[in-house]
Amino acid sequence: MSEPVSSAGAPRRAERAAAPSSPLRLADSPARAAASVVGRLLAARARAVAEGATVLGAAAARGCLDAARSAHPARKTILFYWIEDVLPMMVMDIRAREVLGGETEAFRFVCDDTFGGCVAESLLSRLGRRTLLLRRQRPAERIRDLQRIMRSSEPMGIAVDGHGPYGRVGEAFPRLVESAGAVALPVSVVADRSHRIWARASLVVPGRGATLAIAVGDPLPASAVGSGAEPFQAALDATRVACRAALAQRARIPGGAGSPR
Amino acid sequence: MAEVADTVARLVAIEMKTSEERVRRVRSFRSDLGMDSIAAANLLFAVEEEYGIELDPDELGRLDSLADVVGAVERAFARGGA
Repeated sequence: MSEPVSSAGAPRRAERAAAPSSPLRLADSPARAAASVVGRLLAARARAVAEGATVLGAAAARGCLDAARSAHPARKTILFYWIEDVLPMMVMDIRAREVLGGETEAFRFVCDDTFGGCVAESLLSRLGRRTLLLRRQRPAERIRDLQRIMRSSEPMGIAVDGHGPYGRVGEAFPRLVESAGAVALPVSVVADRSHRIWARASLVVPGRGATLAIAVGDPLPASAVGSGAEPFQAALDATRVACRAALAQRARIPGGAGSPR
Repeated sequence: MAEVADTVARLVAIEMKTSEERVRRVRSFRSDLGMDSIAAANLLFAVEEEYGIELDPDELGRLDSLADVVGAVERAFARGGA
């Protein structure tokens, strides 16, 4: 991250070593213990679903990731997505491992301390992905966690609607991208058959034998921040449309998957 | 510690894209300048890097005015954080 960013503390920030990840204390409360159990079950489900899944767009997604890294070698990548895509993304990554090369293993996934965030942390950890905690409840902890995210040179993954409202990019996310001096990449993974297990956390589980489509959009540099959340929202919506189009196209092919839901 | 106040006011003004005069005038960075946690994180980066100190983590959530931040810097100096 050698390129300058506009925030007051940014120029020397990149020179600092990345801080270690914060431990998630899932046993701190019954709710967190419950989140851990749910995450474990979802991880098992992801592995099971991946066995019979069909994937679309994995090679193109890999190409987009490689192109973004080549175009912005000095900046870290922040992959952003809807919280409901976390599990489909993991299924995709397991199933298309030979194409994606375990791509998400290089990322550190930011999870907050809401119940859904704790479920996601448990799920991701059990699938071997690294996580970083963003505590929202106490301002001091939140500030320090944000600083860890900004300082880290590792590529990161963030569900931009993890704390609601779902399906909306919050105004703070573009500013986080700017402060981190990062390049943001939108990604969606949509399954043709899935069910929402839990409206409160907006988690979606692909069904067995599902076809999953992945789409990675063009990178949004820090300079896009001036326009607020709108370019980020539009970019993420576009990847979703691309996924649905790929699924619809496959459904029209004789012998292809059924109609996308 | 007038120098510290000057420096902190400058850093806040940069982060919040406002004037140092306004920074000195307002009572609350959050209410009056709209400082959120990302801006606070950036400001604290800047302050800590400017002085080579680490502010007390327990204080971070309470730094909401110029006097608050200057006081935190003074306490960090007193702890030998410089």
